[in-house]
Amino acid sequence: MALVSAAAVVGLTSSGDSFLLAALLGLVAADIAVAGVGALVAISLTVRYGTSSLAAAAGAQAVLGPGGLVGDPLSAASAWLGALALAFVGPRGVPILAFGFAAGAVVAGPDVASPTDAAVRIAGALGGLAVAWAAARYVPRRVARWSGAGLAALAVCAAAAGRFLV
Amino acid sequence: MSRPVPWPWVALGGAVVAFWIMLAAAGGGVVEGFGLTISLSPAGAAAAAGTALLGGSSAPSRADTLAAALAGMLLLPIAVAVAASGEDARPLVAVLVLVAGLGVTAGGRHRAARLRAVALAGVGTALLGAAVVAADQTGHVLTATGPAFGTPMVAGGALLALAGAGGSVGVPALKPLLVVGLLAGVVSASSVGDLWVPLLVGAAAIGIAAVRPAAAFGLFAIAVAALPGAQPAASLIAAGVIVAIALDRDWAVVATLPGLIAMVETLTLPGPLAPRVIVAGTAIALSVVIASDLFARRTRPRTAQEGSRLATTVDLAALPRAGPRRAERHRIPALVVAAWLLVAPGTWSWAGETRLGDYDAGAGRAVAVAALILVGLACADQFHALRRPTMSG
Repeated sequence: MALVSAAAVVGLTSSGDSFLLAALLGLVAADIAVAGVGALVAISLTVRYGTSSLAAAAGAQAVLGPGGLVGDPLSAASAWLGALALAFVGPRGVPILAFGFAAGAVVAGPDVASPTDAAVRIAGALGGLAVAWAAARYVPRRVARWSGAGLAALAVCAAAAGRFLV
Repeated sequence: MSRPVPWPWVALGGAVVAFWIMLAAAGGGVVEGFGLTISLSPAGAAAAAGTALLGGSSAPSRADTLAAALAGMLLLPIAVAVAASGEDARPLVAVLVLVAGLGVTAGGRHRAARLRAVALAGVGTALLGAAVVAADQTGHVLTATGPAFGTPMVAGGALLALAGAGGSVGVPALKPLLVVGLLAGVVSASSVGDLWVPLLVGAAAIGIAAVRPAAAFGLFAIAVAALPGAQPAASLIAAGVIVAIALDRDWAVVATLPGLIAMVETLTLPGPLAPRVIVAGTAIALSVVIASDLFARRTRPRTAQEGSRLATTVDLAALPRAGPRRAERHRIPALVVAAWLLVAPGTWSWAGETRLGDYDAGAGRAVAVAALILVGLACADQFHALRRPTMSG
């Protein structure tokens, strides 16, 4: 419960570092493969924003718009792919909170500086929670894990292509 | 069951480490005496703190091991601080010879491991000493200006790091040599060229990752230091390695996480592509090998729990047993430093500009929330225990 709360707070407030969040999510799921998926998503964020800081990513989203909606199509796709990867690998039960909030922070997690930002942030968190819950409930675990790993790898490729090719 | 280390030894080790850390936090200092004026830099004081931490993490049991431990905890840190501050490094070489010599008599658990550690320390000291003594044009400092001096310094540093990283398996008295090796490797790696050091030292790190995780990350720190602008990240990785060896637990390599994150930031800086690809590939290979070897649950088939071959579950229930035992109270200072490094690495300003301020904020928030939840759960347990009906009530 303490680990879930710690990871959920980091994801919900976009404070700290994306690799730290990946490590916390791995601990929450008690699974190194989950930490690996989180690390891949962190790499995609680092490639896109030039830093692994979640606060910097949130700041960029506050200025430019939600990560999944702005920028070139490949970069926006990398945000969606990364968020889906995190939502897919979440285990059942309370840990869903941490994974849902983290997924929301990737695709729509701006720094809360105005009511609009707050609304986007809440919508992102609720959306992430809904997808994570649905994935845990309806997708077989084996499929969800491999899908998460594949989506995370695609997120890295899309972010790299968006940054260096577009 | 081994006897607990006496509290005076624990207190002495803690006091020495605290002194050097406070000196580093204060921005260093100037020492005058015997007609000499020596200015100690914050990085030098921090390196001395690491040396003292390793020196104090051994538990001396006989007179000869006590002499070796005292040399590692009191004498070597002074020489390291002076050399790491850019002053004459020849005293460091002299003390290295003394510590390596004491290591011959100080013993170790296995004869073969002891011989290997002493041989590594001897060759490493010889290489480093030759480079320092020959560098008369630069004032015998521990900084190489070209491949001619840089190559023996990196090779000597790597060997000394391996000798020190043997931990309790090799010769415990040689542990402080790890700091000297990492210091020499990190400060001279960039002088050899940014391709060969990541390639060769990185390959060596991957080669020993499965058997000596901390030593592998030590070599990796030297490889990272070869990249332009990566010395702060390499210093933080080295700090994590030092803490892991001081704790004498393989899982303690998680203390290298802040340094690895700082390294990722460095990889995004402009510069030649090939060495950065090599370093990134080495980091991924090391992480995969060490994570699957160290933290994977060994008591059940990998596919059993989640029905997926990808699942590599962590045995969280075993974590409380992974901490230092009662007899290992001399590791308390190392535990404190490890916690500090993991939660607030951004405050380690003597390592250089690492851009980990945001990491500090998130880690601090996570720890605070986790602590609040734990206290709340403990209070709830206590409350329910009080309300439970008893025979007398």
